[in-house]
Amino acid sequence: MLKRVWSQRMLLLFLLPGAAALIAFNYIPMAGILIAFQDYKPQNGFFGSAFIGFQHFRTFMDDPAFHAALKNTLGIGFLSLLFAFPAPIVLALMIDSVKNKGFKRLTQTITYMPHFLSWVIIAGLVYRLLAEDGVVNALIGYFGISPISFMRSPELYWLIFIVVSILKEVGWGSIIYLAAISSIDPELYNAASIDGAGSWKKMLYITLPGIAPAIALMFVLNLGTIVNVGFDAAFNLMNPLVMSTADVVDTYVYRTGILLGRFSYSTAVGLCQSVISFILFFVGLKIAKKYFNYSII
Amino acid sequence: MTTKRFSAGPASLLNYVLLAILCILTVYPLVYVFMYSVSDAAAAASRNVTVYPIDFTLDNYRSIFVDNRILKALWISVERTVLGSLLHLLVTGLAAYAFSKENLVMRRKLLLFFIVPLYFNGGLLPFYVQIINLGLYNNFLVYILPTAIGIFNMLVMKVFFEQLPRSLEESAKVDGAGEFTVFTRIIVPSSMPVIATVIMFIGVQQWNSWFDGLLFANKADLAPLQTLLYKIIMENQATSMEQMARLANANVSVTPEAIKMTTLILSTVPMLVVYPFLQKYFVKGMMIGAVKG
Repeated sequence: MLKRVWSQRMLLLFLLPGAAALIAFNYIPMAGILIAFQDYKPQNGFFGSAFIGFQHFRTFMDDPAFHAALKNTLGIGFLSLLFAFPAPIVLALMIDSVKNKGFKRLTQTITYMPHFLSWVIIAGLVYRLLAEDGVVNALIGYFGISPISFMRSPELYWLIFIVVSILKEVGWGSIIYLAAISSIDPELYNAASIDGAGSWKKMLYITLPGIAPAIALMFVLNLGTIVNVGFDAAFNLMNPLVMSTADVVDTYVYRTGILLGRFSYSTAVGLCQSVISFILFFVGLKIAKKYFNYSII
Repeated sequence: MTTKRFSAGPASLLNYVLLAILCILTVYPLVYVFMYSVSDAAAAASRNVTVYPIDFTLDNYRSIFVDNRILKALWISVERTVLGSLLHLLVTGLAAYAFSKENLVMRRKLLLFFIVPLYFNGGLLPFYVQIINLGLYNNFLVYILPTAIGIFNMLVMKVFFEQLPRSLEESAKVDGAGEFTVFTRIIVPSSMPVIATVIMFIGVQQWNSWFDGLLFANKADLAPLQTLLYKIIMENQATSMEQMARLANANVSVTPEAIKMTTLILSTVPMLVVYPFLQKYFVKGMMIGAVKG
């Protein structure tokens, strides 16, 4: 074996920079999780900080702010699964049924675009448009409705979050489904036409079943995201007035850890979330492997 | 696809209308902000911008450039995008090439070593602590070193390399070329499509990156454009920029809101300009990555 290692030393050398980066920026921080069980103080370092076991875990379970964050995370996550997950599928079906090539291409180009803008930009746009003196309020003013303080209303926050998330990612997400749709045998549609099936029937009985594997696979792989509302989106869209419904676990971790300096505490919370997310993802992976023959390696 | 699948009818008219509405909803916000940015700031504050500027002016753009933070941030973003992408390509490409060899010793275990971090990581705080411990706080390298290896991109490149004909490499080796020469002289030139795709992925990621600028640097000169944008929009640094603009020219009409809008457009334009040309690379890359796992 050592002979093989020596004869392939160049190839192994090629792996070295990548491995070094992974060790430095991924694996060592992974080990750093252990600070969740300590009373970590930067000046004492890792080995000098006291070990306190699960104390932090007990603390955060009692924190009402954490409960709110958890509730928001699960709430938004669940709504995402309910609305943001099917949205790209619907869009793919809609785009696919467009016959005009120019319109089809234009729609795709336009809807893919927001995926490439950072959430800082998107949030900036949202705040500007939904401002009390913004366009949206001007528009509803024409219908005689008095201005709504969109971004100051905790009860509207989940709705705004989901809608904006969908607008941002629906286009990009539809790519996978469009690919799946285009791999369906056109003969099936021809046969259905001969049997007198209209567009709706074709969609229900050919297209949807045809892309069902892709849908199921995507669903199963995204199970882990219920617990993982994106930090980027949450952080940029929230403001102090809507904290009660906007704070999610990731932003809670950021606030307690970076802003309040409670390193160990914050790590404990993050660890909890990672574990749950990982379990969900792992379950998803097993299901994917068993029923869809989908494997990473 | 020459088969007609859906017959034209009322259902498809609704389809067109709904899609058109979606497109308008997607495009309009940017149109609005652009029109605001070229409108007279005071006028835009009192009346409503719709789809055209009010009292067209370039004063807002002149105002934000008075504060050279914008230019510095722009430069940082450009630097990190270029350097970060090149480094990423090198590190990730080399690893992908090594893994594309079926006979690599301990291949499965090494591959596992590279893939695990894709699904599990230590979380924000341990990473933050590590960055400080490595001396990368307030150091430009913090923008390019952590992203040197990209696991997803590596898998995409690996799949591509595996599909290159063996004969290219074999004939080079017969002529006495070593692995590195094979990589640079043979593999890379034959892999332009996947290299373009990966550069686009990492380029966009680098350009849009804002959080690391916020978290790992507090020196003003080290802020990338998106971080500066964040500070202007969310932390109200627009006010200080407004003041600087007034100091430079007392007659100029400018408001913090106008500053925000103008900076927003400035941060978006490079991506919008580049995007149409790269769209097909992104889509292709997405498909390779998703289909082949």
